[in-house]
Amino acid sequence: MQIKKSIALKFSLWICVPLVVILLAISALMLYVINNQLGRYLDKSALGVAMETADHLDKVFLQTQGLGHLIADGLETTPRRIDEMQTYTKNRLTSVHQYCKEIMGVAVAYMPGMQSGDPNYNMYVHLLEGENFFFTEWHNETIDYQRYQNWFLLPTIKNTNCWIDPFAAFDGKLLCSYSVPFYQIIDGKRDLGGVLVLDYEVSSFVNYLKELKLPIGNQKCTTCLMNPFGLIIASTEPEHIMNETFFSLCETENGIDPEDFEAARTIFGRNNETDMPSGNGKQVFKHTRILNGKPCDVFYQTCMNNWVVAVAVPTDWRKTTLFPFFIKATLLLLGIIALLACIIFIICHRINQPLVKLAKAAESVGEGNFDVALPEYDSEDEISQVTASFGKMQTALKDYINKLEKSITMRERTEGELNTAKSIQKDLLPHILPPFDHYDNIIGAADLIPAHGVGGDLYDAFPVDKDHLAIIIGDVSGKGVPAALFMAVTQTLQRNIGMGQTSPSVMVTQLNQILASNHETNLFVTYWAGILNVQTGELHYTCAGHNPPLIRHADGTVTALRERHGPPIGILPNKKYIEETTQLQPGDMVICYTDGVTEATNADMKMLGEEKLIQTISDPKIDNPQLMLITVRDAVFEFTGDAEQFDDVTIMITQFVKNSGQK
Amino acid sequence: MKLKSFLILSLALSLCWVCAAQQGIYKLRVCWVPSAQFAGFFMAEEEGFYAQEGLALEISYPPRNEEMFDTLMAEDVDFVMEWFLYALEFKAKGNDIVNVAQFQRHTEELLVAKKSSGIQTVKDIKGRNVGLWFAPQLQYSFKEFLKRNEVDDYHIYPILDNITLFLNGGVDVVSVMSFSEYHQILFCGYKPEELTVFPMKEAFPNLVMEGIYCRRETWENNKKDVIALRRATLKGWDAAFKNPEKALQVIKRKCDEITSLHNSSNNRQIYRECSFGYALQKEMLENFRRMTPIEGNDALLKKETFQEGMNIMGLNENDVLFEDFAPQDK
Repeated sequence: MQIKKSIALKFSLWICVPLVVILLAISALMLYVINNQLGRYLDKSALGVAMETADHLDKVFLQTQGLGHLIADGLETTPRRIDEMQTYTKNRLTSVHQYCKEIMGVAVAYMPGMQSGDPNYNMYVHLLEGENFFFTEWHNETIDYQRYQNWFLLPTIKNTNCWIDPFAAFDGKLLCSYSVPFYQIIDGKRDLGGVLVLDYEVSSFVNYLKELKLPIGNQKCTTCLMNPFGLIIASTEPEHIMNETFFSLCETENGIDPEDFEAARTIFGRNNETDMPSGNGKQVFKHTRILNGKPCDVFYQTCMNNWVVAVAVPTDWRKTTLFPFFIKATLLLLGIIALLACIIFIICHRINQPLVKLAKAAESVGEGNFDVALPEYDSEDEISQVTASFGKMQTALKDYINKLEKSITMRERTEGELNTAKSIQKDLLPHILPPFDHYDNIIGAADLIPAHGVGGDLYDAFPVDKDHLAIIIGDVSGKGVPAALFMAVTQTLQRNIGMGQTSPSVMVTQLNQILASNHETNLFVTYWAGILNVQTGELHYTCAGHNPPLIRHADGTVTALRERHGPPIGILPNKKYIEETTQLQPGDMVICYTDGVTEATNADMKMLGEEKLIQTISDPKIDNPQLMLITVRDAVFEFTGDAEQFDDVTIMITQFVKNSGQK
Repeated sequence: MKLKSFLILSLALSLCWVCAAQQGIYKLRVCWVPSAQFAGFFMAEEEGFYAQEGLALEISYPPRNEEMFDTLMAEDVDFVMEWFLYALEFKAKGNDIVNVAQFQRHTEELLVAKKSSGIQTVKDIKGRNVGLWFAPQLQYSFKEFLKRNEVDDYHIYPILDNITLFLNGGVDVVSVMSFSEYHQILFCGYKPEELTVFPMKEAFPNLVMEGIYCRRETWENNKKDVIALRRATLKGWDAAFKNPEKALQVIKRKCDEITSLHNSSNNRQIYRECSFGYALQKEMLENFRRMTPIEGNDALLKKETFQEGMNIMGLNENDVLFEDFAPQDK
């Protein structure tokens, strides 16, 4: 057995190839759908993280602003003396810290000369470290260092509250402040008294940063908080905090990518009239160091104080993570399908083994070995049924072959007998026409082509006396051996009756009487008998239901002897037949034929017909019976072509050459 | 006995060699936290150029509010890196200091404004808020520049070491260094074409910024070492320019050391520039490459520079003598 043609392999392939195609199609479809959906989901998630982080921060900022204004208002109205101010701030810090844990310090910085208790009083700072307070105060600073700080200068210059970029506090901590200018009424005049500052430790902002976790793979996203100028205040990437701005991250070893720089400018509103960031959105960066040089999509949300929360997601995350994941998953499934194919192959191969053995047994049977043993198979499945059926078929085939051998032997014997019968029947027909050499003015030709081994047609020509020739043609009804035997009987009887009888009607009547009276086979014979005076050409004839013979004259014209003088012989015992007479002219040919000629049928089931026959024999160039016989026979078989011959074809032609009476 | 004498002699010679090798141990106070501004010193130390000259240089950084010349005169350090104009003023007040090394050849001070604020020319500064570094000596050149351009009615706000006030609109114009704060502004998303820049280099072509100063006796007593120190530092600058990556690594290491010191010390400082990132330090080093020629640079203060400073400071020629201020021994 060749593996490549085995059912096991075909079965494996039929199952697994569609599975692979379906799997690949599903994988491609899923990849397409998931890629799109995940892209949208990720965009939403990343922006959501930025917005959520900004929202949390905004709450802190809003709380801080409210508390800042509250305390500043208190400074404006309540504390006048230094000790009052210090108690007030300490108390406020305690209560503020309860509301907002991130606020870890309160500072009050006076404008020069604005502390009523001490005109040289500069600044008071109250800080919390854990549960402990500690404070610092400045008087009479030669270098008014604290008043150069941004948290002091910016609100006093702009005369408004401000969020201040991170700066180093005197103790080295990185602080970020909210500064609120406060006013004091001195001598009825409201002047800027100083600045109240609420301090955060920058590190506390990291706690607010929400991280975006990618669903697959270990690639990281970065969330960071930046001031309006891109300085990274807090980040999930600690290296960036206070070390980089969003714009400096755009600088790589190859310089700054202009597109990245423009994208960053868009985030931070550099092209806006306000020169400040606003709103939210997404920007794509190709060469920035935000994610260690990987291209990234940055989703951003601006906080209420113009700080910006940004979430950087690797742009090629789906390509580098999702695609390999899908490829791995698909390969795994393909591997499983390959394993499945192997298992199916092995199972089918095992199932097929009895069939293979059965096939070998069948081959042996085919080679004639009907006694070969069939494979044993214990199961009761279809293969068992096939084996059992094959066993029955083997037995039946064996019986059939035995019967066939007997039948062939019998048929061969029958065929031999039929051939013998055929020879005998042929011997009954005249071999030479005309039968006697002394009829030098009569020539003839005849042929009988049986449809089967033996036929029921007959013809004869024998001398009645020295001047008269009997011309007979007939067709026994039915086919085969009965018809042939009836023909032989008729052929034998007509010679006996016809000898010396110059009247065809008498001969036919007598022949009819014998045949109709002495047989019970219901066979009959269409019969035409003519007695030709070979000297004068006078022809007496009687027709018993036979096809009308045709007289083809020398000039090509044809005359049909259509008269019928009774039914076929062998039917009515006491029937008296009459006869007609016609005069043949020299050259006339009497063409007798059976219905096998005119009813010869071609493949289209059309019959030759009398008209076609007449047309065939009308050619004056056909001037002798032999040529006429060949012409008619050829016309018949040319017409029938490959169609089966149903009936015997018999043609007999007698030509009256000259009139001896005219000599 | 011979062996004992040989060992004693060998020990004595070794000690002499060690003493000779370590004869020049000097302290230098640079003017700021570790940055590319001091790459020449760092690289000379890193590459062993000081050691090759038989010197050891201890580099230290100023605490906040320190008057470095006071530290110098108090003999706490041997050398300070200070502002040229301030040194002239200090000298004119009778303090006997000398300039012993001037590696950079021009000033990188700039005044910067946003074009969007409407400042296109120096005249537009009239009536505006101008942020100048709070130390008076750092304001001299800018004030002189504005005065020469007949801009007198403006409000000065003293600023510390950052550009926050400028970015937030507290001041319209701000003093910056081209190699430092100017890049910080650019790293906040501004394009050069969006800024109006007034370079002091154009107004004062011969003006320089920091130089290395010491007390006169330090110079007089250690001329050979001082000259060697100048030579070794110049080689350090050359090495930094030839191998900027290594120089940046050394600067980073110095920053980390200082940050570590800061975190574990009560006398804390924050070194923001020190930690402002690779990109800025790289830019700064490139700026110093332009400011610090190697070929033909004898690192001596030029007469024309001295004269430019005297003019800016409005000093008479007898207030400070060039040879006295900047000895030209090579």
